Amino acid sequence: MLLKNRRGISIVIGYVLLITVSIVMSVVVFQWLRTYVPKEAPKCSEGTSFLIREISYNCTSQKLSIDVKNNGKFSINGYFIHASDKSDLEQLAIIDLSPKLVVQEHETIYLSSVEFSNVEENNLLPGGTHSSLFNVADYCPCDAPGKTLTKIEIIPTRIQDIEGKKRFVICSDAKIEETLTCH
Amino acid sequence: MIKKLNNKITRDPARLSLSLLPRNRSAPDSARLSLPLIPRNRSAPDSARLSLPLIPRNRSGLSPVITTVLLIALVIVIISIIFLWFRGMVEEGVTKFGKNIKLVCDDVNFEASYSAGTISIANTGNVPIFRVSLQMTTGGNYQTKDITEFSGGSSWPTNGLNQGGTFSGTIDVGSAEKIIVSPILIGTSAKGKKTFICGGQYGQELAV
Repeated sequence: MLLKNRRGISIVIGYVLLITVSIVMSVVVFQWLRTYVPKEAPKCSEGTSFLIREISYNCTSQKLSIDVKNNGKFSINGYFIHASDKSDLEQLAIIDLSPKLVVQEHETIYLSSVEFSNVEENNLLPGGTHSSLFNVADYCPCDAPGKTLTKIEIIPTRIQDIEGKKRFVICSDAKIEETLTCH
Repeated sequence: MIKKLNNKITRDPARLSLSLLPRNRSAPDSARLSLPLIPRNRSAPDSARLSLPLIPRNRSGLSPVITTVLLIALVIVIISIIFLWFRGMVEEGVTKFGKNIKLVCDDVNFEASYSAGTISIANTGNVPIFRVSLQMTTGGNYQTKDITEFSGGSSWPTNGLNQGGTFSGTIDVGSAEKIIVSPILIGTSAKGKKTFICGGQYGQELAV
Protein backbone atom coordinates (compact mmCIF):
# COMPACT_ATOMS: atom_id res chain seq x y z
CA MET A 1 0.00 0.00 0.00
CA LEU A 2 2.79 2.37 0.98
CA LEU A 3 4.73 1.57 -2.15
CA LYS A 4 1.74 2.33 -4.37
CA ASN A 5 1.29 5.82 -2.87
CA ARG A 6 4.92 6.64 -3.32
CA ARG A 7 4.84 5.79 -6.95
CA GLY A 8 1.77 7.95 -7.55
CA ILE A 9 3.25 11.03 -5.91
CA SER A 10 6.45 10.76 -7.88
CA ILE A 11 4.57 10.81 -11.20
CA VAL A 12 2.51 13.82 -10.16
CA ILE A 13 5.64 15.64 -9.01
CA GLY A 14 7.26 14.75 -12.31
CA TYR A 15 4.40 16.29 -14.27
CA VAL A 16 4.22 19.36 -12.06
CA LEU A 17 7.96 19.93 -12.40
CA LEU A 18 7.82 19.39 -16.15
CA ILE A 19 4.95 21.83 -16.63
CA THR A 20 6.51 24.40 -14.27
CA VAL A 21 9.86 24.24 -16.01
CA SER A 22 8.16 24.55 -19.42
CA ILE A 23 6.12 27.57 -18.32
CA VAL A 24 9.13 29.30 -16.75
CA MET A 25 11.23 28.71 -19.86
CA SER A 26 8.44 29.95 -22.15
CA VAL A 27 8.04 33.13 -20.10
CA VAL A 28 11.80 33.78 -20.11
CA VAL A 29 12.11 33.22 -23.87
CA PHE A 30 9.00 35.29 -24.55
CA GLN A 31 10.28 38.25 -22.51
CA TRP A 32 13.64 38.08 -24.27
CA LEU A 33 12.21 37.77 -27.78
CA ARG A 34 9.65 40.52 -27.15
CA THR A 35 12.44 43.09 -27.00
CA TYR A 36 13.28 42.21 -30.62
CA VAL A 37 9.79 43.04 -31.87
CA PRO A 38 9.96 46.49 -33.50
CA LYS A 39 7.72 49.05 -31.89
CA GLU A 40 6.37 52.23 -33.35
CA ALA A 41 9.22 54.74 -33.34
CA PRO A 42 8.40 58.25 -32.18
CA LYS A 43 8.21 60.26 -35.36
CA CYS A 44 6.30 63.12 -36.83
CA SER A 45 3.24 62.63 -39.02
CA GLU A 46 4.02 62.77 -42.70
CA GLY A 47 2.66 65.94 -44.22
CA THR A 48 3.96 68.22 -41.49
CA SER A 49 5.38 71.28 -43.21
CA PHE A 50 6.61 74.69 -42.25
CA LEU A 51 7.85 77.72 -44.17
CA ILE A 52 9.49 81.04 -43.43
CA ARG A 53 7.31 83.80 -44.80
CA GLU A 54 9.52 86.69 -43.81
CA ILE A 55 12.87 87.12 -42.11
CA SER A 56 14.75 90.22 -41.04
CA TYR A 57 18.26 90.34 -39.55
CA ASN A 58 18.64 93.90 -38.43
CA CYS A 59 21.79 94.98 -36.65
CA THR A 60 20.51 98.50 -36.14
CA SER A 61 17.78 97.21 -33.84
CA GLN A 62 19.91 94.14 -33.01
CA LYS A 63 16.88 91.97 -33.62
CA LEU A 64 16.17 88.99 -35.81
CA SER A 65 12.51 88.68 -36.64
CA ILE A 66 11.06 85.55 -38.18
CA ASP A 67 7.57 85.06 -39.49
CA VAL A 68 6.64 81.42 -40.02
CA LYS A 69 3.61 79.68 -41.50
CA ASN A 70 2.26 76.18 -41.02
CA ASN A 71 1.63 75.06 -44.60
CA GLY A 72 1.25 71.38 -43.73
CA LYS A 73 -1.68 69.14 -42.91
CA PHE A 74 -1.06 68.94 -39.17
CA SER A 75 -0.88 71.37 -36.30
CA ILE A 76 2.55 72.28 -34.94
CA ASN A 77 3.70 72.65 -31.36
CA GLY A 78 6.85 74.75 -31.85
CA TYR A 79 10.28 74.73 -33.44
CA PHE A 80 14.00 74.43 -32.79
CA ILE A 81 16.03 77.27 -34.23
CA HIS A 82 19.76 77.05 -34.82
CA ALA A 83 22.02 79.53 -36.57
CA SER A 84 25.50 79.43 -38.06
CA ASP A 85 28.18 82.10 -38.06
CA LYS A 86 30.41 80.24 -40.55
CA SER A 87 30.91 81.63 -44.01
CA ASP A 88 30.84 78.05 -45.30
CA LEU A 89 27.13 77.41 -45.63
CA GLU A 90 27.69 73.66 -45.75
CA GLN A 91 28.62 73.73 -42.09
CA LEU A 92 26.03 72.76 -39.52
CA ALA A 93 24.08 75.46 -37.75
CA ILE A 94 24.75 74.78 -34.08
CA ILE A 95 24.11 78.12 -32.35
CA ASP A 96 20.92 77.67 -30.37
CA LEU A 97 18.92 80.88 -30.68
CA SER A 98 16.14 79.91 -28.25
CA PRO A 99 17.83 81.64 -25.26
CA LYS A 100 17.82 84.83 -27.33
CA LEU A 101 14.05 84.76 -27.82
CA VAL A 102 12.26 87.92 -26.82
CA VAL A 103 9.31 86.13 -25.25
CA GLN A 104 6.02 87.57 -26.35
CA GLU A 105 2.43 86.60 -25.70
CA HIS A 106 1.59 83.00 -26.69
CA GLU A 107 5.26 81.99 -26.59
CA THR A 108 7.33 79.88 -24.26
CA ILE A 109 10.57 77.88 -24.32
CA TYR A 110 10.69 74.13 -23.74
CA LEU A 111 13.80 71.96 -24.19
CA SER A 112 15.54 74.66 -26.24
CA SER A 113 12.57 74.95 -28.56
CA VAL A 114 10.25 77.87 -29.13
CA GLU A 115 6.70 76.75 -28.30
CA PHE A 116 3.45 78.30 -29.40
CA SER A 117 1.67 79.07 -26.16
CA ASN A 118 1.27 75.63 -24.61
CA VAL A 119 3.94 72.95 -24.42
CA GLU A 120 1.39 70.12 -24.38
CA GLU A 121 -0.65 71.10 -27.40
CA ASN A 122 -0.09 71.68 -31.11
CA ASN A 123 -1.32 75.24 -31.21
CA LEU A 124 -0.25 76.40 -34.66
CA LEU A 125 -3.04 75.08 -36.83
CA PRO A 126 -2.61 74.37 -40.55
CA GLY A 127 -2.49 77.68 -42.38
CA GLY A 128 -1.66 79.58 -39.18
CA THR A 129 1.23 82.05 -38.86
CA HIS A 130 3.50 83.11 -36.01
CA SER A 131 6.11 85.85 -35.56
CA SER A 132 9.08 85.59 -33.21
CA LEU A 133 11.74 88.08 -32.25
CA PHE A 134 15.31 87.24 -31.21
CA ASN A 135 17.92 89.44 -29.62
CA VAL A 136 21.05 89.16 -31.78
CA ALA A 137 23.21 91.83 -30.18
CA ASP A 138 25.97 89.23 -29.78
CA TYR A 139 26.01 88.73 -33.55
CA CYS A 140 26.24 92.36 -34.59
CA PRO A 141 27.56 94.52 -36.26
CA CYS A 142 27.06 93.11 -39.70
CA ASP A 143 30.68 93.25 -40.77
CA ALA A 144 32.14 91.53 -37.67
CA PRO A 145 34.25 88.70 -39.12
CA GLY A 146 33.27 85.22 -37.90
CA LYS A 147 30.55 86.67 -35.71
CA THR A 148 27.76 87.59 -38.05
CA LEU A 149 25.07 85.00 -38.56
CA THR A 150 25.03 83.52 -42.02
CA LYS A 151 22.13 81.10 -41.98
CA ILE A 152 19.41 79.63 -39.78
CA GLU A 153 17.84 76.18 -39.60
CA ILE A 154 14.36 75.62 -38.25
CA ILE A 155 12.97 72.20 -37.32
CA PRO A 156 9.29 72.06 -36.34
CA THR A 157 8.12 69.95 -33.38
CA ARG A 158 4.82 68.27 -32.58
CA ILE A 159 3.11 66.58 -29.68
CA GLN A 160 2.35 63.17 -31.09
CA ASP A 161 0.06 60.49 -29.67
CA ILE A 162 2.19 57.34 -29.55
CA GLU A 163 0.82 54.16 -27.96
CA GLY A 164 -1.66 56.21 -25.95
CA LYS A 165 0.96 58.63 -24.64
CA LYS A 166 1.65 62.19 -25.67
CA ARG A 167 5.23 62.42 -26.92
CA PHE A 168 7.24 65.44 -27.94
CA VAL A 169 8.73 64.69 -31.35
CA ILE A 170 10.99 66.46 -33.82
CA CYS A 171 9.92 66.69 -37.44
CA SER A 172 13.39 66.49 -38.95
CA ASP A 173 11.95 65.78 -42.40
CA ALA A 174 10.32 69.20 -42.35
CA LYS A 175 13.55 71.06 -41.58
CA ILE A 176 14.01 74.37 -43.39
CA GLU A 177 17.13 76.45 -43.97
CA GLU A 178 17.45 80.09 -44.85
CA THR A 179 20.52 82.21 -45.50
CA LEU A 180 20.70 85.49 -43.63
CA THR A 181 21.60 88.90 -44.91
CA CYS A 182 22.49 91.39 -42.27
CA HIS A 183 21.38 95.00 -42.66
CA MET B 1 31.40 -27.42 -3.87
CA ILE B 2 30.28 -24.07 -5.30
CA LYS B 3 29.27 -25.70 -8.53
CA LYS B 4 27.19 -28.20 -6.63
CA LEU B 5 25.64 -25.47 -4.58
CA ASN B 6 24.78 -23.46 -7.67
CA ASN B 7 22.92 -26.37 -9.12
CA LYS B 8 20.90 -26.75 -5.98
CA ILE B 9 20.12 -23.07 -5.74
CA THR B 10 18.87 -23.03 -9.28
CA ARG B 11 16.63 -25.95 -8.57
CA ASP B 12 15.32 -24.84 -5.22
CA PRO B 13 16.91 -21.64 -3.98
CA ALA B 14 14.70 -21.08 -0.99
CA ARG B 15 15.23 -24.37 0.65
CA LEU B 16 18.93 -24.38 0.02
CA SER B 17 19.51 -20.90 1.39
CA LEU B 18 17.64 -21.77 4.56
CA SER B 19 19.58 -24.87 5.19
CA LEU B 20 23.07 -23.84 4.07
CA LEU B 21 23.46 -20.13 4.71
CA PRO B 22 23.44 -18.65 8.18
CA ARG B 23 21.08 -15.70 8.59
CA ASN B 24 23.60 -12.97 9.40
CA ARG B 25 26.39 -14.02 7.16
CA SER B 26 26.79 -12.76 3.69
CA ALA B 27 25.76 -15.24 1.08
CA PRO B 28 28.19 -16.61 -1.46
CA ASP B 29 28.16 -14.90 -4.86
CA SER B 30 26.20 -17.64 -6.45
CA ALA B 31 23.54 -17.50 -3.79
CA ARG B 32 23.35 -13.70 -3.95
CA LEU B 33 22.86 -13.82 -7.65
CA SER B 34 19.86 -16.00 -7.34
CA LEU B 35 18.05 -13.81 -4.79
CA PRO B 36 17.34 -10.67 -6.82
CA LEU B 37 15.34 -12.82 -9.18
CA ILE B 38 12.40 -12.09 -6.94
CA PRO B 39 11.07 -8.64 -7.83
CA ARG B 40 10.88 -6.28 -4.90
CA ASN B 41 7.40 -4.99 -5.35
CA ARG B 42 5.76 -8.13 -6.47
CA SER B 43 4.43 -10.78 -4.21
CA ALA B 44 6.92 -13.54 -4.19
CA PRO B 45 6.16 -17.23 -4.25
CA ASP B 46 6.25 -19.01 -0.90
CA SER B 47 9.53 -20.68 -1.61
CA ALA B 48 11.20 -17.39 -2.46
CA ARG B 49 9.69 -15.53 0.46
CA LEU B 50 11.49 -17.88 2.78
CA SER B 51 14.84 -16.63 1.51
CA LEU B 52 14.09 -12.86 1.86
CA PRO B 53 15.50 -12.45 5.35
CA LEU B 54 18.93 -13.04 3.84
CA ILE B 55 18.95 -9.47 2.36
CA PRO B 56 19.70 -6.84 5.00
CA ARG B 57 16.56 -4.68 5.30
CA ASN B 58 18.37 -1.35 5.77
CA ARG B 59 20.23 -1.63 2.52
CA SER B 60 17.21 -2.04 0.33
CA GLY B 61 15.37 0.82 2.12
CA LEU B 62 18.08 3.48 1.79
CA SER B 63 19.25 2.86 -1.72
CA PRO B 64 16.33 4.50 -3.65
CA VAL B 65 16.49 7.60 -1.44
CA ILE B 66 20.21 8.00 -1.97
CA THR B 67 19.81 7.40 -5.67
CA THR B 68 17.09 10.03 -5.94
CA VAL B 69 19.10 12.56 -3.97
CA LEU B 70 22.17 11.87 -6.07
CA LEU B 71 20.17 12.12 -9.26
CA ILE B 72 18.62 15.46 -8.29
CA ALA B 73 21.98 16.81 -7.11
CA LEU B 74 23.65 15.74 -10.34
CA VAL B 75 20.91 17.27 -12.48
CA ILE B 76 21.11 20.55 -10.58
CA VAL B 77 24.90 20.67 -10.90
CA ILE B 78 24.79 19.85 -14.62
CA ILE B 79 22.06 22.43 -15.26
CA SER B 80 24.05 25.06 -13.35
CA ILE B 81 27.18 24.33 -15.37
CA ILE B 82 25.29 24.44 -18.68
CA PHE B 83 23.50 27.63 -17.64
CA LEU B 84 26.74 29.39 -16.64
CA TRP B 85 28.44 28.31 -19.86
CA PHE B 86 25.49 29.32 -22.03
CA ARG B 87 25.09 32.67 -20.29
CA GLY B 88 28.65 33.53 -21.24
CA MET B 89 27.86 32.82 -24.88
CA VAL B 90 24.62 34.78 -25.07
CA GLU B 91 25.15 38.53 -25.06
CA GLU B 92 23.38 40.58 -22.46
CA GLY B 93 20.14 42.17 -23.62
CA VAL B 94 20.14 45.96 -23.41
CA THR B 95 16.84 47.73 -23.94
CA LYS B 96 15.80 51.31 -24.54
CA PHE B 97 12.20 52.52 -24.81
CA GLY B 98 11.14 48.90 -24.15
CA LYS B 99 12.88 47.44 -27.18
CA ASN B 100 16.29 46.06 -27.95
CA ILE B 101 18.80 48.86 -28.24
CA LYS B 102 19.99 47.55 -31.62
CA LEU B 103 16.57 48.40 -33.04
CA VAL B 104 16.70 51.87 -31.47
CA CYS B 105 19.83 52.63 -33.53
CA ASP B 106 17.52 52.69 -36.57
CA ASP B 107 15.60 55.61 -35.07
CA VAL B 108 18.65 57.76 -34.35
CA ASN B 109 18.87 60.83 -36.53
CA PHE B 110 21.75 63.27 -36.35
CA GLU B 111 23.90 65.53 -38.48
CA ALA B 112 27.63 66.10 -38.22
CA SER B 113 30.21 68.25 -39.91
CA TYR B 114 33.96 68.80 -39.54
CA SER B 115 35.96 71.85 -40.45
CA ALA B 116 39.41 73.06 -39.40
CA GLY B 117 39.69 70.88 -36.31
CA THR B 118 36.15 71.58 -35.13
CA ILE B 119 33.44 68.96 -35.14
CA SER B 120 29.79 69.97 -35.00
CA ILE B 121 26.96 67.58 -34.19
CA ALA B 122 23.22 68.22 -34.08
CA ASN B 123 20.65 65.73 -32.85
CA THR B 124 17.77 66.09 -35.28
CA GLY B 125 15.99 62.93 -34.20
CA ASN B 126 13.88 61.77 -31.31
CA VAL B 127 16.43 59.51 -29.61
CA PRO B 128 18.85 61.15 -27.17
CA ILE B 129 22.47 60.54 -28.14
CA PHE B 130 24.48 59.73 -25.03
CA ARG B 131 27.87 60.21 -26.68
CA VAL B 132 29.50 59.69 -30.06
CA SER B 133 32.34 57.45 -31.08
CA LEU B 134 34.84 58.76 -33.63
CA GLN B 135 36.63 56.28 -35.86
CA MET B 136 39.60 58.00 -37.47
CA THR B 137 41.08 56.29 -40.51
CA THR B 138 44.67 56.79 -41.64
CA GLY B 139 45.74 54.69 -44.60
CA GLY B 140 44.60 51.19 -43.78
CA ASN B 141 44.57 51.72 -40.04
CA TYR B 142 41.96 53.21 -37.84
CA GLN B 143 41.64 54.35 -34.27
CA THR B 144 38.40 54.72 -32.34
CA LYS B 145 37.90 57.29 -29.61
CA ASP B 146 35.00 58.52 -27.56
CA ILE B 147 34.21 62.23 -28.04
CA THR B 148 34.87 62.85 -24.34
CA GLU B 149 38.45 61.66 -24.76
CA PHE B 150 39.26 64.80 -26.73
CA SER B 151 40.00 68.04 -24.96
CA GLY B 152 37.24 69.73 -26.93
CA GLY B 153 34.83 67.01 -25.87
CA SER B 154 34.73 68.20 -22.29
CA SER B 155 31.77 70.42 -23.14
CA TRP B 156 29.73 67.44 -24.32
CA PRO B 157 26.50 67.41 -22.23
CA THR B 158 26.71 64.95 -19.31
CA ASN B 159 23.27 63.50 -20.05
CA GLY B 160 23.90 63.37 -23.76
CA LEU B 161 22.55 65.33 -26.68
CA ASN B 162 18.78 65.56 -26.33
CA GLN B 163 16.26 66.21 -29.09
CA GLY B 164 17.32 69.31 -30.97
CA GLY B 165 20.57 69.56 -29.02
CA THR B 166 23.79 70.73 -30.67
CA PHE B 167 27.48 70.39 -29.89
CA SER B 168 30.66 71.89 -31.23
CA GLY B 169 34.19 71.17 -30.07
CA THR B 170 37.77 70.98 -31.26
CA ILE B 171 39.31 67.59 -31.85
CA ASP B 172 42.81 66.56 -32.82
CA VAL B 173 42.48 63.97 -35.57
CA GLY B 174 46.19 63.91 -36.47
CA SER B 175 46.77 62.72 -40.00
CA ALA B 176 43.40 61.00 -40.33
CA GLU B 177 41.83 61.08 -43.78
CA LYS B 178 38.28 60.51 -42.72
CA ILE B 179 36.19 60.24 -39.55
CA ILE B 180 33.18 58.04 -39.01
CA VAL B 181 30.90 59.42 -36.31
CA SER B 182 28.76 56.72 -34.68
CA PRO B 183 26.17 57.38 -31.98
CA ILE B 184 26.48 55.80 -28.54
CA LEU B 185 23.19 55.16 -26.78
CA ILE B 186 22.50 54.34 -23.17
CA GLY B 187 20.02 51.64 -22.25
CA THR B 188 19.10 49.44 -19.34
CA SER B 189 20.16 45.87 -18.73
CA ALA B 190 19.84 43.44 -15.85
CA LYS B 191 23.02 44.95 -14.42
CA GLY B 192 21.80 48.55 -14.70
CA LYS B 193 22.62 51.27 -17.22
CA LYS B 194 24.77 50.21 -20.12
CA THR B 195 26.07 52.01 -23.19
CA PHE B 196 25.83 50.63 -26.70
CA ILE B 197 27.72 51.80 -29.78
CA CYS B 198 25.54 51.76 -32.88
CA GLY B 199 27.40 50.07 -35.74
CA GLY B 200 29.17 51.83 -38.58
CA GLN B 201 26.07 51.63 -40.78
CA TYR B 202 24.38 54.12 -38.44
CA GLY B 203 27.38 56.45 -38.52
CA GLN B 204 28.22 59.44 -40.68
CA GLU B 205 31.42 59.71 -42.64
CA LEU B 206 33.19 63.05 -42.60
CA ALA B 207 36.06 63.95 -44.88
CA VAL B 208 38.98 65.65 -43.17
